[in-house]
Amino acid sequence: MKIRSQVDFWSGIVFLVVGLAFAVGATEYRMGTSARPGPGYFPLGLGVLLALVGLVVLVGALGHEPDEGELIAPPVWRPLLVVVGAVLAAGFLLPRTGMLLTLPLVIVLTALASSEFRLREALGLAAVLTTGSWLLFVVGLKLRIPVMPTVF
Amino acid sequence: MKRLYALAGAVMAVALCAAPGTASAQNRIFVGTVAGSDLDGLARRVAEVLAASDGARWIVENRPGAGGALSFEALKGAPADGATLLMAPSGALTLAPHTRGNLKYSMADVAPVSRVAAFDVAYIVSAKVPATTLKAYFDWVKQDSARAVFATPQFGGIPHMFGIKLGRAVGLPLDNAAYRGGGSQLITDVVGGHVLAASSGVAEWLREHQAGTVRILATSGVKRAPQLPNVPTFQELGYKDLTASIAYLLLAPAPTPKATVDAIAARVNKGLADPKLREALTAQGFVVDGTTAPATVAANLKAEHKLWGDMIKETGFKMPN
Amino acid sequence: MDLFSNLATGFGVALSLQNLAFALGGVFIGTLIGVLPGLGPVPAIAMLLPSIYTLDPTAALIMLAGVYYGAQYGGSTTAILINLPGESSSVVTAIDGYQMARQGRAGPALAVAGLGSFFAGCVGTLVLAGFAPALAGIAFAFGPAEYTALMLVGIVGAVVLASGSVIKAVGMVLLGLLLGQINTDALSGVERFSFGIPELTDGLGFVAVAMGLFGFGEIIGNLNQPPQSRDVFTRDVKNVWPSREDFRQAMPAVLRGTALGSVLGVLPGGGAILASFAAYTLEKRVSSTPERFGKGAIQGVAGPESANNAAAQTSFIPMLTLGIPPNPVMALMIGAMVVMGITPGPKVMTDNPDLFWGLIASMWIGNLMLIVLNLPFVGIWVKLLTLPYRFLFPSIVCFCVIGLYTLSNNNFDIYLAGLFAAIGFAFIKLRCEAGPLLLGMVLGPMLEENLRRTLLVARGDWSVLVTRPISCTLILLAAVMLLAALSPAVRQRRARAFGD
Repeated sequence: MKIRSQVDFWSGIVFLVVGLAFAVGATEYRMGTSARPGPGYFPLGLGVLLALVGLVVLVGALGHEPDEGELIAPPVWRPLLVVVGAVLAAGFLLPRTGMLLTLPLVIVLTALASSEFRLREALGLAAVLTTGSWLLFVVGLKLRIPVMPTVF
Repeated sequence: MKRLYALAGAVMAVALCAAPGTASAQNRIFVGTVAGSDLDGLARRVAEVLAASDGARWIVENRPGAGGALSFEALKGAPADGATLLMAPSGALTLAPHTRGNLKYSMADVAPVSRVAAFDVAYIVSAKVPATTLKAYFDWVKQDSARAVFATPQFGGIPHMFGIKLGRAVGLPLDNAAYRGGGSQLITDVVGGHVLAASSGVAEWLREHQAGTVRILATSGVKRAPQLPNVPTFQELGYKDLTASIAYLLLAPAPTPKATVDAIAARVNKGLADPKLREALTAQGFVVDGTTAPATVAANLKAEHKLWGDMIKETGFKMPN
Repeated sequence: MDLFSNLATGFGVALSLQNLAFALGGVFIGTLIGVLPGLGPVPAIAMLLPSIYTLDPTAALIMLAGVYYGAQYGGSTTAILINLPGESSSVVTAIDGYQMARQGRAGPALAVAGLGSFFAGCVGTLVLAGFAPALAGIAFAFGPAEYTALMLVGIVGAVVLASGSVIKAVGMVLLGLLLGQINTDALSGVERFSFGIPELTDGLGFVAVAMGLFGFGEIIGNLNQPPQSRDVFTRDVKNVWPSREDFRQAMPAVLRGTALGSVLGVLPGGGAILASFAAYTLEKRVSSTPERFGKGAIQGVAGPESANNAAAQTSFIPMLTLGIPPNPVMALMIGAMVVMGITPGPKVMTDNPDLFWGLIASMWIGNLMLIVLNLPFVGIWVKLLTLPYRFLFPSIVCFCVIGLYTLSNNNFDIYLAGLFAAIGFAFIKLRCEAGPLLLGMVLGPMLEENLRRTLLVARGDWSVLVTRPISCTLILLAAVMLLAALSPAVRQRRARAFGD
């Protein structure tokens, strides 16, 4: 038995693992009875169901020959890591250093994800977006966003 | 291109200079719910009152999450200079510490400023229930144990506790059906007769009561609710210790100097004395206060805290795991 | 006829210059809020409230209604253009709408969404005016058991939504349901799966997850492609306006969506969310070419958008006739009305006829304003998409990050979106669709709450779900839908097994 569909195989694994994880976690909570379900009842049931579905998908992904159309292309790591990193950095910095410092940093960082990155363009974009955001959100819509650093 | 950069740079420079002005000197009131709730609306009124009395800007900052606990944490982290306040329901300070396990705040973290408004807990039944008095209702429930269910807008809140107390006082354990966040589904279910009784704050039910689709059988205040002159209180009906109310309080961080607290209290209470404001808030279902001194509010809170603590111990109520 | 004379009064009120200005202002603000990712109408309305107290009540309510519609439509705009659904009702629009945008057909998608919404709005207003009390009665026939059944229909509908493997869609829905279990249990107060993080005790925020899975995940996916294929929107922009063929295909979808949405909108709490994807499911079922769905079928935009707007109109019914607000925006409006001394309720129609009919007429005008305001913008939006991607995507990320922060003034939502961006990318690679997951996440808590409440009231008797007529019908519907969805997959599998 070989893996016919890589895509389905790994999908099945994900479902199986996550389903089991939730099911095991659910046992921490009271189950109750089927007449009066407790907080753990549904997570357990759903987790088991998901694991079963994962199993079905997994088995269905097995076959004789690997299917060309079902291969997982290796991901390009740069966009993934840069974008996720930039978003997380934004979350960390925004309440600590305020919008005027965080946004330019995050915008330039995000732009790095593209292979067409040019520093001057990114800086220009950062200037425009930061100013625009400040005008729109803080001045115009009067939303409560930290503008200046609170850490120093 | 270069001119565009220069322009952008100039605008940014202006922004950087102007920004600090907009950022600081913000007086704010934290609220632990999303915008639009009763508590939030009241907080905005208070903000208006404060802004009118000292000409400064007062805004409301919503910090929802963890059932209001996040707003308390926001208050704890704020400077104790009278520029940051919190509006919260009394239950968060008097009941929650007994029922919720890992609460990260307590009464010691706050200095009460003013009791802005309150409302009673009401016991409501659907119009489909053939009982017009509390006693008739309980007789009716005794006939069929399937009828011993009451709905509440939240699990473990004051209306819920109140319902439990009521059940014990009558000797009829009542089952609770909690509705997340209360609101429209709770009301519709009671009006539609799917759930036959509810224990909830008076405010939301006034319209339905007047339309006749539900009946408020009793309210929990010491006096009758001003909007419901014909509805008896539980006390009147003979249940001496069935009084409770949900108060919305204005709080300051604990280290705030007493003089500051008293000054703010004076301004808020003065603003709350305005008859038009009182009328508007009363129409919404609140019993406007604004007359209690900070020290009294604090003392009342402590007393209430003990009351609920005793009740929890007595009933053995525990937040289930 | 009474209805027309009432409407005439209403238009007389609504067409005053002042009220028209407020309608336009409200729609403008609302569209702005809707287009900016993350921002919802509630905080903005709450901020406008103090100034509203000083306005004439009719004008104020007209403006609030305008903001509400504007925000709905703005949310659909970003769903179509950049795959960012602003609210749960726009998730469905994003599925085919974004694909249409990728094929250079953003213009027709936006136009059809707008026109379909307008039509639905007109019909919805008429329904509201004529049938308000009767429809209100429907809401009361729905108790916990009926809501449970309705949610089941919705969940099965979420499975049907997927255009790829059905069994994987089932898995994604289950995953979504499980993610929805991360919250404080409504009926027992237990905090589940929160790992001690206070922000998780109220559940995973919809906007954060949607932004991560749909918006950011899509950006990462795009950046994985070589640069030439990224500017796919812009290379091949076809007409900005829908073609005759588009109109012909979309029209029946609009009609069906409107009918569905008008009925579902009346149900407090669950109705409006379901409207859009009940419509999508319906369109997919009645279409002679269901395989086009998920790849840019115009009915997949027209139907849900119309259903959406029709539901938005009829959701005013419980509010106006009974004073029961079906969502936070309405709750604010009721607050405003009460403050102005108007008690919503059955008496509003008789005590304040000017207000009631003026409001109804201005809803129609608000819808008209939306079209007037937004159709010219379609061209501008399409032009905006022609920006080189390396400028476009950092801008999207920037606005999203700010929008996320403003949700609860907390950076936690930003972290959540970042996490789900990675997860979203993984799902794209695994060819698992995010739509069913998101919908499962929204419906799961409602299903569980209502089911347990049903059991509580019925003292543990599960058969209540099939003995009550409405819930029985709905459950049968769900079962039929599920079987219909699974059978092609089963047939396919058997064919493959035999073919081997």
